[in-house]
Amino acid sequence: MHVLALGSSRRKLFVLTGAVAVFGVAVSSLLLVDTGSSAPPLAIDGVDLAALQQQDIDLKAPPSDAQAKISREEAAARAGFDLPVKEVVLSRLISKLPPKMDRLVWAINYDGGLPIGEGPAPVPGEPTVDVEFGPADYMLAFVDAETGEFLFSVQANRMQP
Amino acid sequence: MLNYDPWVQPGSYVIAWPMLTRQDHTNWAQIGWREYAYDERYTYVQYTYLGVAYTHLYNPPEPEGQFSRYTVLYDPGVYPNPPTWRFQVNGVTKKTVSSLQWTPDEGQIAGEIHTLASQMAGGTNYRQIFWGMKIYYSGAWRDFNGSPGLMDTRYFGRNTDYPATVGEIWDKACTF
Repeated sequence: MHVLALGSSRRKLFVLTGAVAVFGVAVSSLLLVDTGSSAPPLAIDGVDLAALQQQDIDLKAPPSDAQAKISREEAAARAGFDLPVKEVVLSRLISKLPPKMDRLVWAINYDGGLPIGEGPAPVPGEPTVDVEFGPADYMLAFVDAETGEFLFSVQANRMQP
Repeated sequence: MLNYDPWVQPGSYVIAWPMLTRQDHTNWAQIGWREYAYDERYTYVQYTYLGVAYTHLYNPPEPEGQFSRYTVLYDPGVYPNPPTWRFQVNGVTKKTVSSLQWTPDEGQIAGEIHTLASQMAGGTNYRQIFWGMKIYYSGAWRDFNGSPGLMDTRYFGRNTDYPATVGEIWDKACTF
């Protein structure tokens, strides 16, 4: 990613309006329910589906009678990212936490990813951490296979030691 | 905050965000607007989980030139419920995760660029405004009145005259 910046995260440029250090940041609310699912996972090239499931992005094989109303080519076009596409996989996307969803989607698997950002801004008196990322492990975009709606994309970048 | 429309160098990007993090800055969770070159804009969410940064992009973005309320909410949970993070725009949840294994103790609000060829959010006559900056801790929402961060004053400006609930930043090389 850093080839797209100035070559090093030391060049990252922030204007921080302020930083507030607190103890016990909290809001009250929310009870969560995990209903589980027994459908088998898909295989998507280079994607850690178990880790994605931890992010409440649960990808399963679609029902055997599932039929997309838009083509995979149209789905890739609607996602709109100017990146090479490795594969487009028909999937069932389940999210149990808000915004909850259970949709038939085209999962568009890209070769590479976008530059993403570099974490917190430096604050006087606190350690300066130069966060470095490796190249994108993967980037997926999800397009509703029935309506053609672009839902969201997710990209994973490993932080370098 | 204002959904500012900066000039973005091709191949780079400009972002503005509120964030919850830790004072050692090893983990974070943020939401904001993001613009790549040629006016390619998104609402985005980014958080860290076990050494991996997950970045989510949402389209359509919030309207340029208008204000939207971007919020990161951390709920520590009560056993057996896990801690939960919610990322919201105007009170609408864009993403929820309950897997993150760290506890925030710091909030930040900032603009960010990665090359001086891009414009920092804000110009001298039309600034990136962060309106209604608040942080919740110890049982109440409070004004965001923390320490200003490090900043290169050759290139960037920051208004500290306003109340702690309003921040303004800008790129000194740009008027609008």
